[in-house]
Amino acid sequence: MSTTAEKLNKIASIEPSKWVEKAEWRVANEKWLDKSTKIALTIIRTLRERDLYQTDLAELFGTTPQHISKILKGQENLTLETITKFETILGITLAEVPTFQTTIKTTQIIQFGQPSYMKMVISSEPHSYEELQKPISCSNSNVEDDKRRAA
Amino acid sequence: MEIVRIFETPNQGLFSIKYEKNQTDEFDRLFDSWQDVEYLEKFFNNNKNDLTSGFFGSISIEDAVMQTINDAKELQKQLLEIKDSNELHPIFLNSYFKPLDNLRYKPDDLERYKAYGVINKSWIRLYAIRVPNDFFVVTGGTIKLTRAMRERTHTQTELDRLNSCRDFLRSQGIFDEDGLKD
Repeated sequence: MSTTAEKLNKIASIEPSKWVEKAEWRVANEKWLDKSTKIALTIIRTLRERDLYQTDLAELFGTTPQHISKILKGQENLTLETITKFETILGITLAEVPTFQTTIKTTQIIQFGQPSYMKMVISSEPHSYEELQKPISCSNSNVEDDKRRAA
Repeated sequence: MEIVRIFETPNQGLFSIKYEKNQTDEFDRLFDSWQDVEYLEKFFNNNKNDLTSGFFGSISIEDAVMQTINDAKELQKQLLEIKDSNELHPIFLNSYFKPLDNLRYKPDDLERYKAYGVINKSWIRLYAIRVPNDFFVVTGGTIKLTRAMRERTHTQTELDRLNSCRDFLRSQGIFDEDGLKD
């Protein structure tokens, strides 16, 4: 007497489903797939809002509708170049890098006899990239005091 | 119509039907579709009235697409855990599959079964024939936005498939008397 499991296996194809392999791949690549999904959805909804077809987008992009369709499934590992090209063509933002910020930590070294204007200003406040590009201005209000004292 | 093995663990197994016109089996095809943005956006756009009828609250197409993908992803993970489970730490397929008829309280072999997604008010469905004791043969699945399967063509198709696959399994001798004694 054969079990139902044996019966099922007897009539099942030799080649198993590819589901396990594909599911494990999707789990392992979940983070970037999630980003690809959101980018694809934004593009598709933009096309629908503007009554544009994938063929229109393919033409503007300079590729085939099949390639666009593949991207819009949300399973493609898109390059920055591709994302930027979609952004330029559609005039939308698909991927944004957070505003660059940094914290400068300087060490205050006070040596005996050092003029006070040599002291460095300590800042723990984050600065934007634009701020850091500005020329550094130093406060030298104590310079005149030092000069007077020396005289 | 072919039967394809998805995975087996001691005393239980998941199989799927592969229809002649398709390149992949139903189970594989469904998980591909439920994570395909292009397919989902089109589906919800075509079924916008059912989506916004009130049962699911006020939900946009964008949210519906993302919710389906997240639901499918979670279900996928949990099914992989079942695949990797063992006798020491068993996870049972029959905790996912329920009789198709909500009024049938007593599980019945040789019967039509369904599995939901894992989120609250999930609309994704897998349909399967249960083969004694805990072997499930997936016949199809869909996104169900209406109460009854007969209300929409795509869900009615799944009902028809369940019936024809049960007949197919019968014709293959799966439900023969000796099998039922296992």
